[in-house]
Amino acid sequence: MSSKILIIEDDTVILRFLNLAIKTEGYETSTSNNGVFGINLFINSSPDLILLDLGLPDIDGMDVIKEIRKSANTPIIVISARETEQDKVKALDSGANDFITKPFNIGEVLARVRVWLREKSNPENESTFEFMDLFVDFEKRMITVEGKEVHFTPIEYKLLELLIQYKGKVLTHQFIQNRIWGYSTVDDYQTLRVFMASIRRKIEGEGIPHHYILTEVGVGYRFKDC
Amino acid sequence: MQKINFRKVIIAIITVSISTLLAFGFDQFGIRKENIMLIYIVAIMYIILETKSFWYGMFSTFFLVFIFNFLFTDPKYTFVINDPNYIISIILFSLVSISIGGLMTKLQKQVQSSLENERKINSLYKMSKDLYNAHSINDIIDFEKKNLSSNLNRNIRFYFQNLDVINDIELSNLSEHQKEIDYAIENNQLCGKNEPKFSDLSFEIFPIKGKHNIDGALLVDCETDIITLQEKEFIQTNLAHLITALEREKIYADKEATRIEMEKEKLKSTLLRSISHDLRTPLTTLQTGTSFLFESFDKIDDETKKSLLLDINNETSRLNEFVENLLKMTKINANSLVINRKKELTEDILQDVYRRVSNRLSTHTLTIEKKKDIEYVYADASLLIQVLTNLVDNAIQHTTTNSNIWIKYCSSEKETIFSVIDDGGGIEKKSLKHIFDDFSNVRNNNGDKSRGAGLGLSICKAIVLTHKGIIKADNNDLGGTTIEFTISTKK
Repeated sequence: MSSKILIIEDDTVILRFLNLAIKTEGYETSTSNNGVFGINLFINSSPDLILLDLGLPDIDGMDVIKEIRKSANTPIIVISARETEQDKVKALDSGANDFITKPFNIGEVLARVRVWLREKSNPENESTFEFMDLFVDFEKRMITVEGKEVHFTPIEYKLLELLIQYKGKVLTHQFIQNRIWGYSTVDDYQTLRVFMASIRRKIEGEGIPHHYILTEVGVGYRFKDC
Repeated sequence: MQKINFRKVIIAIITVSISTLLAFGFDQFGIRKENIMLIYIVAIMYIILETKSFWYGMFSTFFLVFIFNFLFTDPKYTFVINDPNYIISIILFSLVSISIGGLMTKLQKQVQSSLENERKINSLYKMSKDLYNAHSINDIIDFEKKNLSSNLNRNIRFYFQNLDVINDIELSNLSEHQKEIDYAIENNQLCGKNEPKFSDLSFEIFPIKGKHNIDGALLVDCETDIITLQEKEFIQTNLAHLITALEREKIYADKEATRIEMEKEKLKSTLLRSISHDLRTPLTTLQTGTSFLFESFDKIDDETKKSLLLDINNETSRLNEFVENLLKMTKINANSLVINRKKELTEDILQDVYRRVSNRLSTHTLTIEKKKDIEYVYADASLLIQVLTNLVDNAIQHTTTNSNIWIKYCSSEKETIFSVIDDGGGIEKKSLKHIFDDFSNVRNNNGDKSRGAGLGLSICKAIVLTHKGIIKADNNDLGGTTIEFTISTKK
């Protein structure tokens, strides 16, 4: 059975585009052009993923997120023209799983949808990970780049493991901080950023960079989806 | 009548005693009495000189006459005079003393008043000089306030009707007298204490009236003592200077405001023209492209369709970038741009820039410098990304195909210098200075081919300036342009 996707978006043309693109990919869709009807649809059709526009005519998109989160953990991808980092972080903090900024690339939307549906169908429990020049053996805790072994400190290893575990998904600074160190920080995540920079140096080769780890400025990090 | 001054009395007594002792000595040596009279005249002159008072001289004369009579005229040690010559001498002595006293006090007064005048002229001169150097209406009024109150030793307050200044009367609860003050200004008439109008007030109102809507008043406190004629003159001369200075400043300010207004209008119309141009060009591409695809969908092959769609896609992303710039520009101009400076990793910024521009590169090659060490900048990340994106976009748009573009950076203790370097043509020397001005578009002057209202670079400049950095452009050895800007690395 194909996955069901609920799209809540008030602009008719964008809604049609999204609907068309997602249907073409073989998903089932239901659509709403306002928040209240969207919540109703959510309750009645229990979709596998929600695409939500934050600027809705009737209620704030943030309230839709909160309402849905009261009863379910369904992945929510926020689509918004609000583009400051604080807005993104706020949406993620209120329970959204990912965000896409308008104007967006439809390919980007489909990639995110794939990433968030994948987790539901098959949870990660592979013992190795391979992506381009990077190879990670989780059992031996060994990392090789272009065939050569690279030494990672325990924290660096934990970070990379976390990123790969959530590959394709945005991880906020706060989330990573809590998962790796277990406590929050007031230094603007400087330590975390330095660790990320050093991991990058270790896994990204010389010359044209592969950019395995993408920085979402002001929000967090995302491991490139493969 | 003036109060008795202890010091002056002592001076008079000592002078009288010394002169008497001297006279007594002379008398012992048999020197003639007329000389004693002369000694006394000298003594009186000295007393008047020291005490600066006619009346001390006259009292001393009175005493000296009796002392002379008592000590030196026959019969000695009585107040009786036998020789009528002495009576005449005494009368003459008194007359001479009186006239000398009169002359001397007059002279002294003249000296005094000429000194006073000199002081006033000096203060007026200093005032007009300082007024000339004052740079705003507030400066002028502040200065005048200090000047008047220190010279007059009185409490003074200014009030202005149409000037954008803080009025003293609102600060000192004098607003209840607004009616009287307005009357004085309206009729350009002195009012208040000692004047026919409103004599029940505890202060005097000097109206200040000038051209160019300068209406105001000076309130001079005179509760304890009245304002002398001299003071009045002094105040009025000062006010005349003040009015001239205010008029001058007002004319200048008005002119400046008109000039700024005109410049704004000019800028607005240029902005509108170039925005409509910049919006129309990509919109035309979009419209022709999509309508062509729609109408001739079955007639064209897939390859053509794809390339048309790619063009449309690229043009859209350019349009988006333009709208982004326009938005930032509006915010910067309206001073509502929120700058959120933080310590950021330079490489994070550069990676984001690369991601943004990578699909617009087409035939160009972008190389971003990589460093071994981790470096920081203290900046608003999204704004810094915008600066670099704009600079790279600008390089893409204005250089020949297959050009190379580099982003390099170099940090010192204080700041990071970012350079965006290309090898694709360079800019004419005379245009280099203007490329950061609003709406300058210099590289291509061939009609519609020239893209961008030059908005991108002026936004770069504005953003760099809000970070207190500098930005400059120059042609390089590679046959292209290098644009450099600085961002501080610390708070």
